[in-house]
Amino acid sequence: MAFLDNSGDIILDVVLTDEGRKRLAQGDGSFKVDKFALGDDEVNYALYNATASSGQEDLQILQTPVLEAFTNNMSSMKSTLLSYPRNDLFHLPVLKLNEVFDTINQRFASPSIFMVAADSNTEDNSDTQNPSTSVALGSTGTLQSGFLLGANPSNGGTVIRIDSGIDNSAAPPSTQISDPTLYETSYEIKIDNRLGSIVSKTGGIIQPVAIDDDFVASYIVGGPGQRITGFVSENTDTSAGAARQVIAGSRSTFLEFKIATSQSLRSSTHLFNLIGSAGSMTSPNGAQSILFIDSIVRVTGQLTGYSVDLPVRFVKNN
Amino acid sequence: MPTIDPNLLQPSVDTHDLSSYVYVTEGDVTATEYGAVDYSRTNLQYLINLFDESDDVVISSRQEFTYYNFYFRDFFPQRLNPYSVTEMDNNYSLNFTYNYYDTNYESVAAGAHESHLPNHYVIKQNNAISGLPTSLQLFYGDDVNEEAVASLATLGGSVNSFQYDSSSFLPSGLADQGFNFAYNPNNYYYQHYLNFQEYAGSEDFAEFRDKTRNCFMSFNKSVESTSAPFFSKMRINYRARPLSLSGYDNNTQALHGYQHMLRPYMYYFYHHITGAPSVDRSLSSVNRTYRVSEAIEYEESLGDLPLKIYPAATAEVLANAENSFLRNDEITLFDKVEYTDFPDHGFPLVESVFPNIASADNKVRRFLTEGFDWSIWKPGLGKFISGVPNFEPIIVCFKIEKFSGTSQIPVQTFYMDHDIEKSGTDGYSFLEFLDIQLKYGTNYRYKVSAICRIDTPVVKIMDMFYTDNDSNLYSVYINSVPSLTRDSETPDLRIESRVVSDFFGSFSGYTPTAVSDQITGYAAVQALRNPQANPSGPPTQPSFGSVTGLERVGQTTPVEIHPSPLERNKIYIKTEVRTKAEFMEIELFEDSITTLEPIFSPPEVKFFNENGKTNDVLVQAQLNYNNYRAEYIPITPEDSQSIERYLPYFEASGEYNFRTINGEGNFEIRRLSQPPKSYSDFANASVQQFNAPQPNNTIYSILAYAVNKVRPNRKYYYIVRALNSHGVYSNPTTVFQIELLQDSDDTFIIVDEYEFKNNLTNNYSKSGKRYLQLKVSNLQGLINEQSVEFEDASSADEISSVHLGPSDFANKVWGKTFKIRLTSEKTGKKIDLNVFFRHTDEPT
Repeated sequence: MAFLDNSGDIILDVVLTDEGRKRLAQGDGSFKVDKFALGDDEVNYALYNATASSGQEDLQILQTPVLEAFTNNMSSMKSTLLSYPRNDLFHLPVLKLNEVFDTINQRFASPSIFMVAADSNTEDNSDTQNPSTSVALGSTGTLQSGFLLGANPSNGGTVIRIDSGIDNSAAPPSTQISDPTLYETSYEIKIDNRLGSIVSKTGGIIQPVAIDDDFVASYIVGGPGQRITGFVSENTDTSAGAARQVIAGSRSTFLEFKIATSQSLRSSTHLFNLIGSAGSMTSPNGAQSILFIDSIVRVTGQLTGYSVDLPVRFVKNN
Repeated sequence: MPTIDPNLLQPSVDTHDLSSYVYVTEGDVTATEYGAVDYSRTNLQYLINLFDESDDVVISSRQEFTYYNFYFRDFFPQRLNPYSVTEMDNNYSLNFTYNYYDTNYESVAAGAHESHLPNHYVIKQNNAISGLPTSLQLFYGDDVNEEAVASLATLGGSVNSFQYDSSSFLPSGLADQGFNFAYNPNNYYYQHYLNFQEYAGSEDFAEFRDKTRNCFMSFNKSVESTSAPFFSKMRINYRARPLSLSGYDNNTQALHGYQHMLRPYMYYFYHHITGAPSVDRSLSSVNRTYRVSEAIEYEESLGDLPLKIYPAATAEVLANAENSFLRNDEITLFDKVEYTDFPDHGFPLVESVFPNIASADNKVRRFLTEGFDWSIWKPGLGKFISGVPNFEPIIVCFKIEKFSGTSQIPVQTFYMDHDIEKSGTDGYSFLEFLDIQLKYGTNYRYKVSAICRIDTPVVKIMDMFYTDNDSNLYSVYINSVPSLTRDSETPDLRIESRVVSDFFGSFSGYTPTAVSDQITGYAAVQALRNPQANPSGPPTQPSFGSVTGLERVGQTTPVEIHPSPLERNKIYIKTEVRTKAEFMEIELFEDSITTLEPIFSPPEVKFFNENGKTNDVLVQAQLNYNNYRAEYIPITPEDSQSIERYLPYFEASGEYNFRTINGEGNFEIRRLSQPPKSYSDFANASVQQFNAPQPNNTIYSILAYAVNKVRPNRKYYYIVRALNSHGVYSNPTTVFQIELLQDSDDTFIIVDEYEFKNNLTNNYSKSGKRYLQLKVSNLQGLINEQSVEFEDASSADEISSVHLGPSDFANKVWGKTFKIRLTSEKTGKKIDLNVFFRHTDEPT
């Protein structure tokens, strides 16, 4: 991955997607470009300088380096172009990580990341009477904030919560979003399938709808009445400035889920050795060496197309 | 300058020629015109007919006629260039917009009369009224107040008028929006529509009716917007004219913007004139301009267009108009400028809009009844003969009649004030009419007419006489009375005194100088003889030419003493002309819309399979809000039938502009297990319809999922269509070829877009040479030299027959039939080919 100089000529840098390469390799004529997506991941629109001289207002935006084309599904095209039927929208809905609704929704303190305990030993020394080396419990002996119990998600632990709505008080939360094109009802969650899977906040298991060649599994969950329940709920809090809300304006739904670790992470250190690192964390008995893999979980609104990337660290007592 | 229709001047039975007519006019409100034209029998007969009731009546009691010759410029007719994209090159536009689906509104509206549905302008007025200065509210009294508006047109608080036309509330418009029709229990319909007949006879309804029809409503001509579920919008382009051109603001009859008088005028007009018989317009010529560019205008005759001319108001009519009101299905709309330009002009404003004509001030009454200064336009007999138009009609309002379906009785009639610019020169302006009082699925036809104030000249005959070649004098009319001698062969000796006393004054002691000083008719005669002279300037020395003719007129008058100005073979006419205020209704255009929800765009579809579910194809469908233009693809006969109503919205190319609006995401899956050749193969392949439940009571979901059961390891062909809220299917998606592969305990899905193999045709014979060639082996092709002939021959000429291949039958191919079987590796199908080998000599 690299940046391309965007100060001069217009750049057209194109690579095929995995599907495109596959079809091209088939050589049966099925390779035909009939869809494409446009994104503006690199653009910071805040750089628009309204006070600049005429014609120079967007100069910094236009000269911002752009990423060269690459095919990593989890990194490419986070912000794709959307079409809305209305031309009078001042605000578009966003997804926002809610860590203030409850303490169980918070990330780990340092580093600021969601920790996923890879196995029972990491969670609580496999439910022993006096766990001593479990890094999920920390020096206090209680489950640390920001730790997801990857081996036993139904036992508690952190719940990741994503709120949807218009994050602007100009559209007051007293009025719920009524435009169905702005009301998020379904979410797609992507996670590296080698590392873990998505489960409900009560530990309910669901199946991914796709696993691509990069081992990225996609899960689709819906809201009330949708195909998979237990993940998406209607946000009925219409109070402005609510302490437990992160969406400043009109709200629609919120998503809650947990992460279960894969069998490989639970039973082996192979992947940790292959793509992870070693370190140490605090356990009830003090410093404890660990293995960890840093990854991300991407949540995308199915209607709005807005996505957020959540940093996660799969941790295993070494 | 237009020319008068020659047919009007020259009836088929006539060959008259009035081109020699010369004349002069005098006077102001009522004027006198003296004229003369060459005498001929046809000219004479034509002039007689003008003032007679008919050709069959020798002696007429009419004595006058009214003619209409107008140059109608305020409205732009159809553009000549249909490809012009300049908006102002259209004289009008009519569009229908479907904002969103509101099931409650549509169901309620279906059972109501259009006039009882919420009205756009009433809703806005509800907002505007509260902003009126207190002093004005006092003057409006019960006629225009919040109570009246609130109860008008069944609104009853069902609409938040302050948010109603806010663009930020478009197009959602559901609960908590500006147009919250469905959920308010105070809504008029919920109170009354179920037993409307009973309510209609109640005193409450009578009060409601009076308030509604007395309500003053205005429009803002170009910025109308609405959050109603659906509406039609009409734009009328016209020429905005400064008041100074109207002739209405001269010192004696200034009305300070005569829009103020329009309301009583409308009441008067539509409730007392419409029932009166139309006047004779056989002597009419109405033209209007064609505008083809910014600078170029053409004109056309309106002779073939529907045109009504109503007689002028009389004192009796005005007296009866005191209690006139609009009907419940009529609404008047006034230019906003009237409201805003006179914020401190309370009394006149109130008076002018007050619906009772009796309370209108004298200026208004004069406007309705009196013509204008005749001297400005001089629309007398001379103008009629020469075909010069008289006053330009001034549009005082547009009349918009709305018809439902094929009915010839309008369900509603709207009168829209004609906006006239208060400054500037001729320019182009427009107004927009917005109609939300519509039922779903109905064809509405709008007929738009211009109501014009016209000042029509009435030409009354006073005297008409003529001279023959011998200067004999014959009378036709004497002092408006038809002469008994006009068809006589005998000269009328009585006319001498008329000539002297009127055309030429007293000829006693006549000298040319005396005539010029004393005789009113002198200038006329001077002009008749010398039309190039200035008829209104000082008279010049007359030159009457030969006076010998006069000497032959009558034997009892002292004609020999006084020279006469009369010429031979002339018809002399004296007429009086006055103008009157009349009203003309010109049909401008007629167009229609059908209130239909758009056909949705094909949905966005994704196919998934959840791991381990070996029979499930998960279909995710989402309403697609991207508009696109394409031909409609019907799949079933029902599709073709349902699309017929939409045909008016299809372009000439056959394409339709598909558009998705809000609504519940309803979808249909059609599936085949064999490759389709066209979309019609899916006609009987509907397998599933699905939607998504509402997330809550106030919002729909446009994203839905369905699980479709399939057999693994088999290809299926899917299309998905979206249904709009009224069950009309969208175009299908592209065909997806779906195969669910099962591998041990795992499954995965293969999704491909499938293209119809339309280029394949059944070909039952094909040359196989390219694919299959059978040749004998070299051994079979060698000449068999083992025969007796070969052994005995010394040269080739001695050999009569040659055989190829081995001698033994078992090893030779010649003379045998072989069976070759081809088996398809793909399908396993077999075909047998029976072949035999034949050799043909090719001489070298």
